[in-house]
Amino acid sequence: MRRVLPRLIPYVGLVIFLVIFGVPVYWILLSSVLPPGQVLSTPPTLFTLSPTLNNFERALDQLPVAEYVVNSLVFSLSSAIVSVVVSFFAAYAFARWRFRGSRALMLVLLLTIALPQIATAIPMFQLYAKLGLVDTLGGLILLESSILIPMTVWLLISFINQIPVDLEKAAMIDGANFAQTIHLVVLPLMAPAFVTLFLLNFITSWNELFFPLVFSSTTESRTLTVGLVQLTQVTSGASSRPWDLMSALAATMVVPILILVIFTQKRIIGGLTAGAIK
Amino acid sequence: MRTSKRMVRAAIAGVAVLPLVALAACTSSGDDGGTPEEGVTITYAVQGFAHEAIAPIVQEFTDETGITVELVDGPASGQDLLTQLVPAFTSGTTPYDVIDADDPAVAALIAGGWLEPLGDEVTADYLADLSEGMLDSHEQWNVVDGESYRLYHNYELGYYWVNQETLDAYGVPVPTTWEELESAGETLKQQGVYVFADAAAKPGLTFVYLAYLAAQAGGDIYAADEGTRTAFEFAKSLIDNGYFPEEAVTWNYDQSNAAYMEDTVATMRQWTFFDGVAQANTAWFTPEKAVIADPPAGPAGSKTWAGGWGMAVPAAGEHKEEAKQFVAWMNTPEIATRLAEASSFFITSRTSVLDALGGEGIVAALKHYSDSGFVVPRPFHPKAAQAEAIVDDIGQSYLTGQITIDEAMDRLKTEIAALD
Amino acid sequence: MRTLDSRVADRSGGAAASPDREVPPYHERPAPLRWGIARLLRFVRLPRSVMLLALILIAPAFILRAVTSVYPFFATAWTSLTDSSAYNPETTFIGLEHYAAILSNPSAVSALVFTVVFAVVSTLLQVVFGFMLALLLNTKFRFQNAVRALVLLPWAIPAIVTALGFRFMFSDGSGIIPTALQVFGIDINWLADPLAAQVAVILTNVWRNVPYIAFVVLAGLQGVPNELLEAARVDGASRLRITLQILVPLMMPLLITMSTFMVIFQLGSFDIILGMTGGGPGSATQVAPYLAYQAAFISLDYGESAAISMLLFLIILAVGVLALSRFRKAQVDY
Repeated sequence: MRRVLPRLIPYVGLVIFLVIFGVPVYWILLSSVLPPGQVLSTPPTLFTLSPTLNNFERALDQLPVAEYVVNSLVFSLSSAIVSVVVSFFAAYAFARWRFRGSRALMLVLLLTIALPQIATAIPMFQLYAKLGLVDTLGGLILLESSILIPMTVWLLISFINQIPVDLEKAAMIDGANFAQTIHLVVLPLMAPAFVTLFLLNFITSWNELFFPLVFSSTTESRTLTVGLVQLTQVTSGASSRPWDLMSALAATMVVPILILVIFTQKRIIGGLTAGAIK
Repeated sequence: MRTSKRMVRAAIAGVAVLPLVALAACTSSGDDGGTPEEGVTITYAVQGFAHEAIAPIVQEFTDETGITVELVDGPASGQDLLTQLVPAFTSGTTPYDVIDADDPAVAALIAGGWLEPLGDEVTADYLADLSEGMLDSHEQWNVVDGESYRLYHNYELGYYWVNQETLDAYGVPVPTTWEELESAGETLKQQGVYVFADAAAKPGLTFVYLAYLAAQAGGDIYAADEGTRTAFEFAKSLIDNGYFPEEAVTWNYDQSNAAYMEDTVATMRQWTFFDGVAQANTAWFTPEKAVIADPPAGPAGSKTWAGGWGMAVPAAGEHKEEAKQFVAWMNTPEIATRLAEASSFFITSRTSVLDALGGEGIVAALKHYSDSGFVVPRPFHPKAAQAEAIVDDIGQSYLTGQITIDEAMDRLKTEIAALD
Repeated sequence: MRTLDSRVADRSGGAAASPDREVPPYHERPAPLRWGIARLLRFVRLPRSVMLLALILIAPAFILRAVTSVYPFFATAWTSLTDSSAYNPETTFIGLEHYAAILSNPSAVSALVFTVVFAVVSTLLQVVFGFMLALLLNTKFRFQNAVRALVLLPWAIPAIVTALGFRFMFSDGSGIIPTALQVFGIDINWLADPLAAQVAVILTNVWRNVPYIAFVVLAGLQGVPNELLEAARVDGASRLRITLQILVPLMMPLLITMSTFMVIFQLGSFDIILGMTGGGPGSATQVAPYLAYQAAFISLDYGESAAISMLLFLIILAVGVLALSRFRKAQVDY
């Protein structure tokens, strides 16, 4: 018994976490299939034998879903890719070479996200209006990638530091140039880190509300998240948020993310370095 | 090494100059319209739920004038509207040609100088058609320096909804005064039912509730006068005595409606839309459960305040003449009546609408409230959005016992005065 | 001119420089596509000077940051010193008037205080639980992939939906949380009580962000060399000792980085609070970024909003500098 107990602890821990995370998620997703009258019942409804798709119908009917989905996909994919790629270059330089001023530059990079997002809204909008970037996906992608860069850089620095320098040195001794070294040695080992950060940045962009709300004026560049605040319903009053519709849209928005996570699972579990504790 | 040092300096200088260049490039620009053209497309941002109902009517405008109107989902709340519009307006652009704005938002937009005066051509028929209470509201909220900037297409009252079945079951008469409300509360409390509730969450709903009581107490909420004090104290006593759920201070409308429809609350103040909510709840609904009664009379009688959403034209638009034409057309008595028939979001107490639809249903109640003189305008302040937020904060702090009534009145007076 | 080689050899600090990491040498890995691209890359000519190469690599990131945040920073700094607002056609310089007004306003100050409390407490809890969760997810077990996907969900749901959802879940009567707690005899009126509301928003915020931290730490744990752990196990160390004495120090730079960024983000965020309480009851859960938002978009007082943002910036500056020094310290330590 004494030998079994310690081995059970991780599983017990996992179960506790699953309950704490799972129950609220379950309730939110349940709300999307309950008829409006039942969602806020006293006592709370925990289960239903007759789920309804009516909320989904109404929510997706109200919005130009096809355009929003396309915009969201393009926006999130591009922001994630651009941020990870650009950050990798910078992170490599900071991690491998301690040149004069690198510390200061890293600090500056950190500080650039110190200004709250809302403060940047009005000045940036004025700038964008001048540059004709308002209501363009490109403009949004620039903004979002930019916000994601500082943290991605710092995290990539940590991950790059985990790779022994000797591998790169060995490659160079063998005659590889800089680009080849990165390509053959560094990138494969960075795969789990890249995939993780790509995934996280994708999700952040997918759920980003503030920038698309302010900088999109039409369905040209509006994303699904903005749809969440556009959902209205007579039965919630003109200014209230209709919970049944919003939970339905949220449930829809979560599906692509789940698919993406399942797809990328393999790469996250360590490319060529199996570091799992067995 | 020397070459690269120079290049380093050049690179840093370049990166530093870039933002300054961007800063320097900022000037403001404007635009103006001309005479209405055919073949133009304008966008009208209005609540999503109304689109289906009004689309056919809007189509007739296109058929008549050749101006295409694109219905776009407007943001659901006034705050979202301001978030979307303020950056655009300060840059001299607008995402929409015609917008729907609620009272506090329009006060802010007019003050910012971002709305186009509508002019007599647009407003003459409309003004002639307004009932008295609505005309007062219009003058307070939509008119500055003699110019009209917005036309109400939605005029809502806080009705006093009563669950007649519950009251009958416990032998309680419908409360007609504050005192009767309290005694009914005592009786119902024994049965585990609250006599009255209203959603009072932030942002905005606390103000709605307290202004309702203030109207009944004859108080000017922004002056923090005796009437306001009476209203605040009454609200607190309802909570302290257990007649009003303290939790309602955190409720939004979904929650207060749910409580009412669970029969844990016997009466409530709620907008027009509850009519649709109640009837949609087929498992629960019977006509006796959702009856509109006269508002309970406070020291100043039975009162409720009214406000609503209306159409306005942003000054930064490129097709302002077409937009104004559309606004005028939508608000002619004939079209306004048809819109009111099509969607409850377009019901107002214009005489034409009241005459056409006032025979039954919710519009009958609207007519009754109007004719009985129950209706007063929403408390006005030029910085309404901010002022209402102040009332929210102070009202909630007082109702949850964080500050005393004296502190509440003092703060209300000073903070509102500081707005000027 | 020093070569790339010797520059690289100068590198100091960094993790796991152990040579016995179990990685097949690059030239022994089969990967036709990769080798094909590598042959093409032969033609890439890069500058020999490391300084220049470094600058080329960091330039894109910095240019993006410069345009989208340095410019607004100066704009905001300037605006905070003026009386700019929608009601004011002529903006005049008023110096530190806004700052004085904010700092002498008790509710603004308490909002600033709660902002810091909210961010710091949230981050501490998130990092601790995130690390624990990452350790748990790192063990092999059945349904590992499904569990990982599920665990990410709290973070994958849009913030306003989470906020609104928890507002309902905490509500007396119809909320699942008070109902569950009643079983234990606990009866708290969560969102109507000032202190309980503060706890509720912090808990929701922690709930939301733990998966994010867990995933990043998980990626970090993947890079821990197996030999290190094997050696420790062979030496007879218990799991707990392995965790505390090996994994924690190894993950320290990553944890500090995550903590720093999470604190910074949360000092500037108010979406959870807006959706759950709107800053209430009263002003109990009011936070500075929400104040700044209200000042700009509701009160249309751009100068005041900018001043609040600048004050927040100063707080964040302090946090950032503090964190950077600890980050460097943790790196050099091993």
